[in-house]
Amino acid sequence: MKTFATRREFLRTTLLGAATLGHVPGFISRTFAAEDFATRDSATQFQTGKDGPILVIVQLAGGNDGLNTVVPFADDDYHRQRPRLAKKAKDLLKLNDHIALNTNLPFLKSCFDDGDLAVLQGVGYPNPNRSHFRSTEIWETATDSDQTSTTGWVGRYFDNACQGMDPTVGISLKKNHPQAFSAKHQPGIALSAPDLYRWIHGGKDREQANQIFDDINSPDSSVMTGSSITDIDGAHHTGKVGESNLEFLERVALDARISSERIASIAARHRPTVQYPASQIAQQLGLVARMIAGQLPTRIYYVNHGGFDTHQNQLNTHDRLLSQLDGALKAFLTDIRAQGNAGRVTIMTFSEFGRRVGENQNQGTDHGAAAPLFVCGAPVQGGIYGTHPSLTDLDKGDLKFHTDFRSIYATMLKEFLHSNPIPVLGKPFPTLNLFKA
Amino acid sequence: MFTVATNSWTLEEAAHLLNRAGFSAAPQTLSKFHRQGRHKAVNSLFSSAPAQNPAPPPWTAPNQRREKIVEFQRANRELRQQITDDNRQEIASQIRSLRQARRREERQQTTSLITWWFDLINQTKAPLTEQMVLFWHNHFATSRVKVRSAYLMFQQNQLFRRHALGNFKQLTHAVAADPAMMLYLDLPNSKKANPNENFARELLELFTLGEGHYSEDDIKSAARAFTGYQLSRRDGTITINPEQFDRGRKTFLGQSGNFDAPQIIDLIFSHSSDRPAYFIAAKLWAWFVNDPPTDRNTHALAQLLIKNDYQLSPTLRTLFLSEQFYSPAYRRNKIKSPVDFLLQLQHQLELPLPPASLLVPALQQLGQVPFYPPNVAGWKQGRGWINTNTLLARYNYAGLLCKASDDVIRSELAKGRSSRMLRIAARRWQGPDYAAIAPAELRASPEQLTDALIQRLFQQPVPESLRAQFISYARNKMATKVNHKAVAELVHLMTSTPHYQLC
Repeated sequence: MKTFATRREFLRTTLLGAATLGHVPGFISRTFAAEDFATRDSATQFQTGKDGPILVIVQLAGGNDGLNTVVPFADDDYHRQRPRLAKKAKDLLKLNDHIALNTNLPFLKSCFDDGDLAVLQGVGYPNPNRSHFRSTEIWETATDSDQTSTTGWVGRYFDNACQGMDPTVGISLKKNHPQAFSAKHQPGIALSAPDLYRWIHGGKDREQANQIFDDINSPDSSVMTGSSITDIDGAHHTGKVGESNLEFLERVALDARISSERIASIAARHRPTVQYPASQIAQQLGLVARMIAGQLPTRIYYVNHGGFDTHQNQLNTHDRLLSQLDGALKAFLTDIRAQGNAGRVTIMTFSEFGRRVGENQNQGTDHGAAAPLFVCGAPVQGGIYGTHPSLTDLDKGDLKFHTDFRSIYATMLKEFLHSNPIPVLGKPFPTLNLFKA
Repeated sequence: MFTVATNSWTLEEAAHLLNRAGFSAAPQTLSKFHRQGRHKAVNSLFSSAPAQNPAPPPWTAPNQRREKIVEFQRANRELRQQITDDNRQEIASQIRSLRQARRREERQQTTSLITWWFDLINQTKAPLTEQMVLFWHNHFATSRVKVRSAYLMFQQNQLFRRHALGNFKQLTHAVAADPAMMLYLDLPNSKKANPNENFARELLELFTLGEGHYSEDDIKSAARAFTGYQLSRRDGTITINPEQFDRGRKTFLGQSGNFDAPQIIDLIFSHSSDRPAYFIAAKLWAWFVNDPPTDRNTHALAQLLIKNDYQLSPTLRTLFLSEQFYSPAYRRNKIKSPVDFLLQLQHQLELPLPPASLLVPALQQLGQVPFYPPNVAGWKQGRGWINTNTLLARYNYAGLLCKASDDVIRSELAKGRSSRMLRIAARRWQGPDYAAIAPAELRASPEQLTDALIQRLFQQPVPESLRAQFISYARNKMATKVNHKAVAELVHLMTSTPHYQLC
């Protein structure tokens, strides 16, 4: 190890070298360092991401009311069951004679007209769970509703298809690391304020301070050699499976260091080309656009739009949230198009469940089951996928699903990210023709 | 399972107790705490009365609150009365700005609530009480975003303080009748014709039983029992409208009767094979001892709770007196929450309370703003606190607090892309008293200086490789002169480590 000029060079080489070697450092081990030493000359470059596909996942947290998002306005039962909440036909953006978009989604309507928006109806899973937390977990881990998993579906994609890439393969703009990113090897990073995404230190001898900082924020070799990383604890932890708390912290510190210089410089160089609205979702997407412009090798970005748990006085709140979503997507896709990256980017929304068909007494709706979701972007084959679920043939008052959400994940993995969905989802799911040929 | 530990204990064990049951301490306070012996020290955590100082912000007084609302309503009414066909738009805009001013005031009040609570924790003689207030705030999570009343959030905070070490069963009853919680989970105006399930679901799933220990029908029955409540936003008084209460027969956890809300809570505790004891024991163990708890840990603590009829005080006393609590495997293995991180640093460096303009943005960056939990399940604990973003934010905030990053911040200021938080920190924040923390005689030896700072920040030795790095930095500085800035940089290096995130 002493042959390396600095510890930093050693770590970079080992981490990024893994890409060329074609296998993953489960954790940086001495064996790997030795193996990598031979190839270090060819292995110190960051991968750039000029061409690869990029999936942006938009979480609508709280349970989006699908029925007032994609509205079955022609169905009398819709108006009957929602005397106060139903949207009138004249206030809607019609997609056909039966369904229409909420009037606060004009940009998505224009995407639909341009053939870039897929509206997937009746999405859900068998034996739906109506708890926010459990159902979110089911969507993020992509398990059957009676199973749990310590890894998320995005994390398993990273583990399987993005071996040895630098930690920016996945970036979450959410405050917490999403469970979807939990991985055995490669859980991605979290980012919210790029200007502060670096270690700010003010010594006169900054070089020495940085050197020591790098050293003390590197996995401790005494910890690395132990066998402790093989024991799996069953708790729902973020990050890699089977690490001790200290190992976990050391790994996050290393990922932060490796990614921080690059992200800070991208943030400084790339400013948005369009004006983004002030909403949090728009600000998050604005940051995603800057990272894409900076050519990070990121495959999956994860953003969050919260507040959809509309038990009470739903109309204004829900309309405002949809309007924020629409405005944010408009700015983002305009920006991406101006960058020349539109052909690489697909956006997918999801929410942990839809809401009950009948409204409650507080002019709101309680937790439901199946709901529609949106997939949009230039690569997407626009249109309406699947029929609207019946409003009378219900499961405990809730819509029945006909499309398992994992079919959509499988489609994303296979048709868009060009990787094998089976190791990620554990079993085959039918795919849809969601993308342009 | 719990064996009483001996009275004599090590300084490291004393630090472990203060880190977990409180918010760490400066070296002198710690050594005083240690000298009492384990039994007296543990007892002292339970005998101190909750802090009376600093006094709550003046606007929390009920009469001030009432006057404010009456005044707002009168202004609103008067404006409305002036409406004519000609001035309709102008009046509407005046009403809008009146409302905006009120909302702004409301937000400022919440900020003053956060600084008041931090100040209180900084000064309190009963740190365990405040740890429990935080615990309950996380367990019965309620957010100001939906409640939209700093006053009701303050009332809830005081409720948690009164019940901090009291009885979980009684607290559950009290929380079900707490205005902030009721607003948060849509209880007011839930009517018998169509009950709102939000509170009923979370009561069973997140507050008492846990997922998988009730049915969807149990939720529906509980929701029917929690109907008919009305709430005055003016003073938080709750009334029951008998017309809207569902007095009908309900089946809940296998029992049938014309249950009302308190009876539902009683049934949760009497007819679920003690599930609430196991549920809360697992959370207490994860909070105070180790995360995740094993089934055996949870079982032992739950048995203790059941024996004490859900009284927290005797249960936690037994825990803190037990050998198990001090097991080396648990020590320095808890990931500090952002609130722990900031308050521990504040205590260890003997710092005054940072101004709100520095404190609140830091809490936002670190991922835990009191009174604003992300959702009703509270904050994700443990590893949930840490990602690349929040870890860098911790390192940088430590740098600001210990005054190590001033020159960089100034050069950033010149470039004009520094955040507001950094600007304020550079200008206004005084930082630690390094003349007292690292007196001249310590600075003569890099080893002594390093070891003293390690003791202050970690309360025990760190791995030798880490210590060697710190010493080499200190030695390099000694070639010139170890001024306050150099000490600050050393403290910043020590806090910019994975190890410092653990306690």
